Amino acid sequence: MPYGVLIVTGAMSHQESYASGFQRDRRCNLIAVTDEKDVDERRARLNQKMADQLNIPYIRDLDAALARPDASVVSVCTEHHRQGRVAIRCAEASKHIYIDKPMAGSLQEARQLEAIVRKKNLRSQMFTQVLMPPAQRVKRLVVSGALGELRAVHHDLHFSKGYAKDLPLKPRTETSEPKMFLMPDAKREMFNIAVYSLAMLRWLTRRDFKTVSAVTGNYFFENNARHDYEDFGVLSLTLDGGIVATISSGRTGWRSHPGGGHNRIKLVGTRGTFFIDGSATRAEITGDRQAFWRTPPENPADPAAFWASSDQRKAGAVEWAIPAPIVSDQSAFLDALDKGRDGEVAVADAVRVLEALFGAYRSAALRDVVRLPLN
Amino acid sequence: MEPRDTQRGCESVRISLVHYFSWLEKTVGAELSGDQVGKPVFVRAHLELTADHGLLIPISEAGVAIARRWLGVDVRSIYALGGLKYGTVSLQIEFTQGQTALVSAELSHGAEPSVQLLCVGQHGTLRFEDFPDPALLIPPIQTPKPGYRGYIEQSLASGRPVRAAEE
Repeated sequence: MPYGVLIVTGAMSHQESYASGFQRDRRCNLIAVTDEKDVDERRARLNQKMADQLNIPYIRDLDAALARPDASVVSVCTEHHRQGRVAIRCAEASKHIYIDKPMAGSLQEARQLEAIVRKKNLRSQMFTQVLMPPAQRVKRLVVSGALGELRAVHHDLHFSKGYAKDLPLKPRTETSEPKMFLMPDAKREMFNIAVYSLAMLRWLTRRDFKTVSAVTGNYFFENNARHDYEDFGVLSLTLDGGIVATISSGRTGWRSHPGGGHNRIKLVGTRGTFFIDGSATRAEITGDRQAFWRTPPENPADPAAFWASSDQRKAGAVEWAIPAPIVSDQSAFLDALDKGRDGEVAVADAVRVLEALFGAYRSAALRDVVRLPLN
Repeated sequence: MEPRDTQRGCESVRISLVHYFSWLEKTVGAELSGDQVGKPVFVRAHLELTADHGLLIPISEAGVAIARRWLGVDVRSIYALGGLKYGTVSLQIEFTQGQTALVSAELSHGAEPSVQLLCVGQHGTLRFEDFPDPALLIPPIQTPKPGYRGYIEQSLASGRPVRAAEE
């Protein structure tokens, strides 16, 4: 088998789907789950759990795992505050990098990783939604020329999970340089969701972000408010060539959408516009035997329903049927490796996306426009 | 289409706007005030209602006024992107209690007018899509009170958010 894959960090992360994607591809041999030696007891237990599920060993020392000569690819999906340093060690060991989004919790580490990847001529890909049908349709429409010259892209991407509460409304005081992004019961949602929109913009236009303005809010979740994490953010950006973009991103509660959440894109060109509803392809059934759709019981181990393994799904009548991508994100990376090139959104693109995200936090903190790239 | 026909088409849309915005505000506002989605916290509005560049700012201004009424709070700041020569005006609005809105006015390029709205409440969302018939709507466009055109133009000129006096 040509690609030996190390799974860096295990259960209760997006690795649940990434590892499955690599395991399903016949070009891969999953070697082991691994992580930093000093991870806490919960993380070690979750790593072991995934190793057991995948029927592979858990190598507790990352350096020992990276020394395996049969490992050529790493799937890195740690908590963001340590993802940069972990990915740097993997790149220094000359492994091709498949990495969770956003790529790091530190812009300095992200830039360092980019430099190592370039120096060692490694291939890389960050997980995004650009292979999903809505983004693919956006690309087809832009490439077709029907819009004329692209002027503006507007994206609303909301995840409908978690139990929303009546939080008191007030302007949020944002942190200029956030350091932590994820707790078992809370996430910085602009960081975790706007990254998809920004990556799509970068992939679609191949233009650099020039400015960003953002406002963040706490509208829905007590856990996010308690940890001082935003659960919603709006961003306005300018790109090279005069393209403008706006984004709304956030986790909006179980009842905000019967499926996974609103995913709406408006393209504006010099000759016309297109409105793309990510839920436009759907099976919708109504009938006497249906009950109104129901939300799942809350799982205390994953109260915001972040991870697939906590098995919190809506049930009932109306469920959007979102078509799967033609190729999984993991197989697309392997396709890229086969061809000796980077994935659709490589580490170099991911750094530009991360700069826009950190610029958004700075903007929200200063209540002003921030120029990119950040100093 | 001859230039004169284009101009006549613009006027047709122009005279429809006040009536349409009034109907839109009441129709969506009635649903939002019915507490079906909880307290509204975010509004996305795509307003593709004219082929006339000169109407983009008045339309976006009307969008701000409507969002303000739906959210029930004053405007804190407006950040405007695009501009008349780009054929699109996009506004990022923050309200005094932290709610937000993204309002954009785009040229219809001779296609039928359209409106796409997404209102997010603390306990649900309202999605509204419409292709209004200009012929059904009569009075001329009016400047909302309070007006926001000055803030929009100031932000477009400076490239920065503008604090609103009503805060």
